[in-house]
Amino acid sequence: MSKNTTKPLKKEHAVQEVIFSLQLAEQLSSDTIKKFFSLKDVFKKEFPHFEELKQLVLQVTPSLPAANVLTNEAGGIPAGMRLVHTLENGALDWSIHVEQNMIVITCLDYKGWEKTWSKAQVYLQTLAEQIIGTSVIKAINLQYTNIFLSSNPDHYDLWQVFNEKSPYLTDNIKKTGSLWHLFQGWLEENATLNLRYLNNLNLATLVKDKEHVTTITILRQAQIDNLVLENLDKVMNELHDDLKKILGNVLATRMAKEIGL
Amino acid sequence: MSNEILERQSLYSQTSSQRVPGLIVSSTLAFATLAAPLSLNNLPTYIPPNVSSELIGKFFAIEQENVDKQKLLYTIRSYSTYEKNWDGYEGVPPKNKTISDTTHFLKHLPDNIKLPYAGLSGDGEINLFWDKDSIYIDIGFLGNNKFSYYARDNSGKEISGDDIVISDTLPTELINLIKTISI
Amino acid sequence: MSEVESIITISSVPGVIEKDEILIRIFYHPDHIDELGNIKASAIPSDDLKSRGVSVDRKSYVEKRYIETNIQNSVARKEERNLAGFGLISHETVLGILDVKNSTALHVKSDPISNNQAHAIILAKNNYLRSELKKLRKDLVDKFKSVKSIEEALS
Repeated sequence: MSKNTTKPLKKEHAVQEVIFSLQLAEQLSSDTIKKFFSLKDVFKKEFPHFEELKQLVLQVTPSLPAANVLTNEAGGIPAGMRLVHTLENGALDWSIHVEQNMIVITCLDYKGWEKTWSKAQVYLQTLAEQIIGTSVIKAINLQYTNIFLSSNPDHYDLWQVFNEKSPYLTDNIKKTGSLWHLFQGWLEENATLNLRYLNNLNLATLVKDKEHVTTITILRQAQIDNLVLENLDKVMNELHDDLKKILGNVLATRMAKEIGL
Repeated sequence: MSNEILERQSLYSQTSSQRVPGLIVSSTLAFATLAAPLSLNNLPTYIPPNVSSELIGKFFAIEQENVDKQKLLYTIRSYSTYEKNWDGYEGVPPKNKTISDTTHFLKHLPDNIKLPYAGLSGDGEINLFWDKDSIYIDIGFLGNNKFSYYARDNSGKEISGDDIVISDTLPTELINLIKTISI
Repeated sequence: MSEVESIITISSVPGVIEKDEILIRIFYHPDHIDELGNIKASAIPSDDLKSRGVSVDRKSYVEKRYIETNIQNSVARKEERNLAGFGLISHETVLGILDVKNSTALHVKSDPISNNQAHAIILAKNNYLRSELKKLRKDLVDKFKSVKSIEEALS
């Protein structure tokens, strides 16, 4: 058996990033975006960096010079916002991004599901409340990016990370060298609950700074007609449980154990 | 000849992955390029001309009330991040239902009243308090769709209730007392 | 900050609490303190008054190191939590808190635990309704004298 040279990104887990997001049926109006701006004060302590995102609208008519820009607001129409928190060393750990038809919470300082979701849930509920009655939530997304590193790229062993019997690896990938990628997606129907789930599983490898890097990005999306906010916790927990199962079917047993799966 | 609008187009960046790093979604994300510089300005973008200062004051007061309510809701929701023994006296965190009962109650309070402040107790109860103008009110939620309360007015008269089902209407004596508190 | 091990204190502490004994409870910001700096009534859990007992330390017998360790551990447990101060109340004052029938509502029991012989609890004497417990804890909280430092608390 080859020496285990591949390690998860962190000591306790391999998670580089978790993204929680709500997808709305329609693009957010500028009036609704302005309601989000009022949350700047609410989030001030936890997200000291706040940025308004604006959209410039060009209106070109034959009688006006081409460079003329007509907007109904100085500086552009409100299009979204971004809030950021950084650690003491300047690294970003949490961010909120609202734009188009998306409300997105990103965590780069994962501390286990319970702790991370309980924090993200507070943010998501506060944000989602701004759209009650005006927008319809049509999908909830949960996405994890896991990273595994090997300091010995020349002796890359696929099976240190991946399960030999995994249904998510193709025969071709199993035979190929150390650099490859495999992106796949599939839909699942749950007729009983009238739900659909979209799954994306992206596996990729590269060599960076003399280290071999394996990235596993996994997204599960619950497609629901008009989610009731009270069900957010339940749905997100189910997505998490489902993602764990998929990841468990991707990873080698030893690696799964090492990251506490 | 009427002017025709030949084209109306937003400016978009193609690099959606940079704007929302790493997010894979089924629909394409395209974003506007312009980001306003960091702004300390909380003023609304449009104020009608020739409006009296009293109306403008009311406008900002309503805006501020909305923000204050949001802050209070946020505080209550943040209780979900508390862990066992959070208070050093073996305190337990509140149940999710307790949080949702409390926020539901808060959202159905009438407008134009003094907002309460919130407290979390070590037994998992979430409380809403008013303590002003010699009026004291304590309303508590335990996540069973009910609340209990104790209050005394500025003459010392006490009112109380237990196991009151949370509905859209509050006990009259309680809401009347809340309404007497100056904002 | 990691949790600091509790210090085991061994001392001889009388089981009976004298009426003039002072009891101490620790309060933290922001959880226990309102915007005006007063102790919130929620700092005293109703369930504790009813069954478990509200934890206090007997000033004359508690070890300073025990309190300091407790504070360190509690502050470490949550970001942005810091010590607000100490509430002091005499046993006699606790006994003076009355219920709606004008009867003594609370009593204090010595409750030594493995690492703190000076531990005591404040308990409701009867099976009060939740609304009644709310009144009692408000009366109790209003009677605490607040001090900032441990030196003041133990002096």
